[in-house]
Amino acid sequence: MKLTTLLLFAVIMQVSAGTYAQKISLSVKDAKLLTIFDQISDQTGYSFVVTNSILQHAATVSIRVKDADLKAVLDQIFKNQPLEFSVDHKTVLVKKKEPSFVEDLIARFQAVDLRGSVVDENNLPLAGVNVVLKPQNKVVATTNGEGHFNISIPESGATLVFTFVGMETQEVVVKANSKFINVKMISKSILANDVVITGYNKTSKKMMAGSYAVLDSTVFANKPFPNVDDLLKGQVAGVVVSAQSGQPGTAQKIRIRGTNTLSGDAEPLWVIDGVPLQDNVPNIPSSSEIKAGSLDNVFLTGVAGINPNDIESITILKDASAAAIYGSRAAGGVIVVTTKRGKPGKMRLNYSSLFSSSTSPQRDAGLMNASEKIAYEQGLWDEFSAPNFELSKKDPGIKFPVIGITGLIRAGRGKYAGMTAAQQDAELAKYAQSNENGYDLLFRNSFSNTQHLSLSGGADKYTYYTSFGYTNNAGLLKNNDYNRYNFKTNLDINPVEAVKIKIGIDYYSVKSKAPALGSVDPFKYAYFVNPYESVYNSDGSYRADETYYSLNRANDPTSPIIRNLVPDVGFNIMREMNETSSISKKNQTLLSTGLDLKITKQITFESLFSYKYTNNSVNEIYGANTKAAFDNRLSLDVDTRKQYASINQTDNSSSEYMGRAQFSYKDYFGQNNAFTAYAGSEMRGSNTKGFYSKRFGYDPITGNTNTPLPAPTDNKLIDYDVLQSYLAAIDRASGDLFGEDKFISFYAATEYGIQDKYIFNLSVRADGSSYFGSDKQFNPTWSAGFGWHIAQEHFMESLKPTINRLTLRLATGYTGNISKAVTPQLVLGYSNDVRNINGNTYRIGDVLGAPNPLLRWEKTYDVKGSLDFGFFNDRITGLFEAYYRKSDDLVTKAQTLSTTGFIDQRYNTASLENKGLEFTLGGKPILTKDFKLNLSLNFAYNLNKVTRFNAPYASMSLSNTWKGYPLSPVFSGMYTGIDPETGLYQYQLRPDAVINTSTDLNKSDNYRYYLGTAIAPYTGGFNIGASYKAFTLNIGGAYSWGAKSFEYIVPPVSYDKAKRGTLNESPQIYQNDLYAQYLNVRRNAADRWTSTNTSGTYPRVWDAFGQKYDFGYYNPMDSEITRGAFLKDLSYLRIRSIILGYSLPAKMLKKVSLSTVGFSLSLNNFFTFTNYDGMDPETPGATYPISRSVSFGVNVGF
Amino acid sequence: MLVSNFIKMKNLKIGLLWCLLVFVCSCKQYLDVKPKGNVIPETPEQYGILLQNQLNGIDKGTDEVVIGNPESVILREFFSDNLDAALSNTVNSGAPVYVGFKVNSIQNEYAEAFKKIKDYNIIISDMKDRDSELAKKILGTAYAMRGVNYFNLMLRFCQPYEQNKAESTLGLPLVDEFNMEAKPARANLRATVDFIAKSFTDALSYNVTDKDYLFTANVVKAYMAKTYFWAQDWDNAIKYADEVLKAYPMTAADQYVAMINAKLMPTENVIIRSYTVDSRDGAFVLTSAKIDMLTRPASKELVGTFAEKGNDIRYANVFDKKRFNTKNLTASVKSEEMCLILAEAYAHKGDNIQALNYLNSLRARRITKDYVAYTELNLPNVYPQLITVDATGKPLTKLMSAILCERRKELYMEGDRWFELKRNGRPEFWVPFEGRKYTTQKFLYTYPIYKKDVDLNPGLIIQNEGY
Repeated sequence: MKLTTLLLFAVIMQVSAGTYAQKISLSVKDAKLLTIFDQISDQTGYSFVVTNSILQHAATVSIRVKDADLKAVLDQIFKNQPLEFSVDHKTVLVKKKEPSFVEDLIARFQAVDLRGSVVDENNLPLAGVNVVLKPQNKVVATTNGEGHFNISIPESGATLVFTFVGMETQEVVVKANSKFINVKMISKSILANDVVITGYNKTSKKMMAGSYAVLDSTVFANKPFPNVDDLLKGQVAGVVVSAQSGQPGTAQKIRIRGTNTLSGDAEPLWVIDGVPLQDNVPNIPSSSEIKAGSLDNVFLTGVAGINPNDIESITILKDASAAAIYGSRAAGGVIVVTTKRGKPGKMRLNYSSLFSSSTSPQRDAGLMNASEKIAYEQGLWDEFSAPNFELSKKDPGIKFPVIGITGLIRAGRGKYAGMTAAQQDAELAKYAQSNENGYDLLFRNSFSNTQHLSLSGGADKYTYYTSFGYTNNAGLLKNNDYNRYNFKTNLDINPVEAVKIKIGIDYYSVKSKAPALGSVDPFKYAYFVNPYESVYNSDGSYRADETYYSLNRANDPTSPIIRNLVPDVGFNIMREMNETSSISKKNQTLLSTGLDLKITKQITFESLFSYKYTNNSVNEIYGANTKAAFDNRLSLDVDTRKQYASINQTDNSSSEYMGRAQFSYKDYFGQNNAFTAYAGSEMRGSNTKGFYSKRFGYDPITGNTNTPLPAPTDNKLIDYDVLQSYLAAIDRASGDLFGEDKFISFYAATEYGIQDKYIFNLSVRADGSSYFGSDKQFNPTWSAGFGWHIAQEHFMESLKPTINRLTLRLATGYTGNISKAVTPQLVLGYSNDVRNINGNTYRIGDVLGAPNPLLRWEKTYDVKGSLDFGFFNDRITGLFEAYYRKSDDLVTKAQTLSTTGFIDQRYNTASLENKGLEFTLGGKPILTKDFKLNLSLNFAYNLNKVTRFNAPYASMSLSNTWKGYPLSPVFSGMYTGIDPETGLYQYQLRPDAVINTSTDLNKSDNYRYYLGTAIAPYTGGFNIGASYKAFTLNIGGAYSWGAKSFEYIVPPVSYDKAKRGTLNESPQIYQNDLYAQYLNVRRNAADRWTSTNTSGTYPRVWDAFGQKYDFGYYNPMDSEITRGAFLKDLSYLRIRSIILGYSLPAKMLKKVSLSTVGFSLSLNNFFTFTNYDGMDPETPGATYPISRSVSFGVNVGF
Repeated sequence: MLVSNFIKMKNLKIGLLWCLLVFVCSCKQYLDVKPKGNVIPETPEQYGILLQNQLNGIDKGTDEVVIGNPESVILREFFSDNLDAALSNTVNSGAPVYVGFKVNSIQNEYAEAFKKIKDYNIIISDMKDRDSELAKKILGTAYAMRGVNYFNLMLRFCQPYEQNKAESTLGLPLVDEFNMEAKPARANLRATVDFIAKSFTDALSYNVTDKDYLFTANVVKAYMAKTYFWAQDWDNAIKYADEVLKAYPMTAADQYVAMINAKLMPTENVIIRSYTVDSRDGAFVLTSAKIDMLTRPASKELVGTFAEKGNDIRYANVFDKKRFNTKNLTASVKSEEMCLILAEAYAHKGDNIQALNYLNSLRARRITKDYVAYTELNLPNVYPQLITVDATGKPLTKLMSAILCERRKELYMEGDRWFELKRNGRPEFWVPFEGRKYTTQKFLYTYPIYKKDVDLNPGLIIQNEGY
């Protein structure tokens, strides 16, 4: 600490080393010592060495001298100071005065010992209140955690001044003989209270008419979830955060007050310390060599790089009034993150560490085990295969279905040829014993840890905050690992009163490693793999999976092979997991600097400039023997059996800048009036460059590639045509990536508060983007708001003890959105290919899409009303909000005459509306010195409805947006059970269905019902916090009610992949398909409908190539209707975390010179209440589920 | 000292204000970003990429619309009476039993053609440069290809041309500029022919000779001959067919086998052809068309037209003993067609001498043994076949019958017969399949207009009769 101060001073003083005079002239009044030192140093060239801490006790000095000696001046300055000085060469060394014994004695006699306690309006102790002795203007004490202070003052009758941020300053005259004083601090004018940082402005809660929520660092610090977005879950009414996958590091989907666009980006805008995040990941063109989507977007976008421990607060701007200042990108709401900055005072060092252990998901998929599956297969064999199998012995032309290992063995396929029945039974018995659970194979219990070290502190003229963070989050999936390193420094320099400089350096590195499985989805594999497929041979080598890819070979052995699905060594999931890898890395450096100049007392010039450099890279390696490598061969080799490794690399870096300059005016005047206004402009731009490259025949040891050549002809020649197409394929395997965009904005806003009672907000903004044509480049948006602090009115005076706060807010405004799916101009895109003809080469290209010269920004109109209240001194608080948002000019596809050359075009055609209610309740039922209990609950209802939309295609399968219904509606058949006659799923006929012929019974239109929405309309969260002395308990949870979804986990095998012959009876749903039973099924399949088990709970199974039943004539067969049987209610209530904390008592810590030591133990995602029967209602289906974990954390402060 | 630094900062502030002012002024310039890889076209080279893309498709045999490819050729053969549907060994989507099976998909050819036409119109209406050498080549090609596409559309989506009804017969929506808001209705058939002819005349004014652009002046003239021939403007048909025939000599008998089997290198009688550059996609199209081709033998009636049997070089080389095709499947325009146009146009004009002249000049190149030139006296009787009236509705004369039979033989497996049936009276015929009768009714010769267009603006685009 001292070292830092010295260093900084050395720098400041160094500036003054120039010519100097011996005589000093000074004229200052009540100046700080530092200021005087500065002036002396300027005049004489003498340097001062001084530490900040001792200056804290120095009094201000008034001095007037002309051409005086240095010594004389210093003597005068140090006269009444608790300091002394010595001069050595050209350095003045300042140190604390050591009191002489006599002086000490006198002081002790004279001094009055005084103790006291400071409380706030709620009679709660207030820590950190400065106690200043008035005549010396010197801080003599600061209240401790219990609000106590303890001082010795020279005499009674002195005046003590108590100061605290946000509170009115209190002056107390110490009466004679008083030993203890009680001080109550009162909050300042309500308009100046509770700071809200909006990114452009620092305002107060009471001055805002918009809807916002502020979350402080306690929500984010030392939590067992490493990502910020995850931590927002359930915290704020109307902010719905949903996991897309349980994979560590994946960005969460966030919707603030519903979705406002059909084709644009509905995610909120993240703003970190005033800098908006603008990720610009270029798309990699897909070609026959490069598969689309190989760039792992999951880790490259979003806010994965922010360390939650560095967050001071997050402000969520929910409505137009709050967010309109962000203009065109604010339609999805704005999340403003403010990171920690240093505070003056001695250096604080904080270290926290968190260890977590994740265990498997709490629910089970309910799949069959090996013996159950083999018994099930045997039943199918007996029913569907055995009769024809017997016939085929005589007539080899007769075909029969082969299902699973039982089918393969019974039919004597491959190595099972020629077995006797007894041998077959023995073989099957062996398989029945090898019980391999797909999930156990792929999943693991993983350990994760998070380390965070921060240093902060500062002095009068500067403060700093530096932190280092490390997070390792091992995924539930084997070989899946996520690492993050953070380094952050925030420096505030305040060289003179009028100038503030902010410097921020933020670096992070994220690395994610996972197997590169390509076409094999590990979760689908885990779900469908047959339980008897063991992974290793007895010698430990990889055992080829006999069933996962063998459906076609087993059922249609005589047909020519169209294309091999697996390499010659066979498919083994563990080989895929171990010998392929995908490593995504993101490194980002953000430098930001801000300069605020106070021009007059009211007017400030504020500026912010940031530069961000980001590098993303993805390395995917497919080991030589894997299926992934087999699928990733050169397109020329797909019909061969060649096998070689390959590597797919992408690297792109982008630089982004943002510059902003604004003038702000801020004034408090009259009786509790406040006026602030600011206006400015902002420009942003980004530039991305990169490359992608795929190389074949890769050797991971040397990094070299040995590209496999096409096979030569007999005389060792390669056909020119072959060579040409070979070169073309190599050319397609690599290329450049680039992108650039720019934005310019102008904005202005004002807030006006009158007599603490009425507030008016107004904001306007115009955004221009490089994305639009010159005519429609700018999009003006505006908002207006009004607030009425009813509790401040005179007529509420009598109710004040009960209702301490009551505020009505009304606001309206516009926000915008860009749909990047269309351009106003005609844009041509060059193709990756060229035309070669007669020795000439021509570029080729195509029109990118139908241009729309009338294209406009999407606009969202927003109106809301809210009532904010606090009872009994905020012991009970609440916020009730209602809003209506109408989004117009949404870009959707509209059909055009094909004579235009396009069959459809994107137009600003659609409208949708969001209506919602939000309710937040908080209470502090118990608030005593030792025991505190905090409760909070939030609830939100949001339902949207498409009010104008012309479907370009009147087909359910092509579009799922319908006028009069919410976004993501669920239309399907209403499932009524299994027909005991046929074993088919039955669906409710619509009451308006007209049935004239039996085939009317198969029409989808006669069954389709609106069954709900896939987006939960009711969401919320709750939090219970309790503390008893040094113990704290925190229980947080989230709930979601009313979402519906089809759990339609379609097997990778089906009759059409079996390709056996003439199709006689297609299945109604995949469960009917005999060939879908080739892989694993849920246990209830054993209870399938048969003519002898007509009460079965699983529908009838049949062979699509077998007997013809003509079910399709009088039953709905379209999956659009039949999937109604798989409709699940995804409502759930989840206790996300239960955190028990304990802090060591201060007494104990004194001995070891630590300020705080805390421990925490948390249980994460342990309890979920739901009727959903799959693995996880938050991430339904066969995907990466959310895991349970236990965490232990330690937090030490020095 | 420190203070002076901050005075400097005040200057900085003023500087920032200046910057701000400059930004405001140059906003548009600042926002004017042109992403690489994408371009708002300005130069002819940039506009040209649209054409090169289409030409590339023709080179590589993937284009189905402009010149066509083996699949589009074999499909029309399946519709026609050249193959015997009753003897099909498989009926699938690639080998429909009759045109009615494809009503849903052939309407897409309408939208597909307009997708191509849009590219030409973008060039024609937006490209500023009209004088440079490159611009002229591009414009000439764009006009030529627009004409070809409209010609193709007319053959498929309009009723056959009848002189006295041309103005009351529905033609096509005539789109001559790129405009997303335009909603043209269908013009009449005569206006459509004029529009096509105008496109070709415009194309000729640029006199494209660069072979890289495929649609050179001679190719345009060949298509003009075809257009006038379809529109029964015999004089103009003769004029252009004659010019082209002189430029592209017909294949002699000893070159015939090489000609019909030419894989990628077109022979000198070929005016334009697709699939001249090897490509995976082109090879795939050819392979699958060949698989379909071998599902159905030639009809007995077709085989019967080869009166000279083995003396006709074609008889031994276009199908095998089981009547399955052995000719390479290509989509092309050949000089032999020009010769046949000349023969038929003269016949319609009543100039039987010239008609016989041209007919014999082709026959002499195909009959290798015992060749006897046709005269008005030795013409064979009218061949009994589906076509009983000629393009103008008159009963077939011996001469006309001989010309149509010659055409059927020469252009067998080139996708011509289907349009011949349409041009000459649209005879109805049926084929049996799975115990049912599938009749190619008169209206089925004219494909349905793209249904979504008809539905989009009720009353604007009138659907063809029968659909």
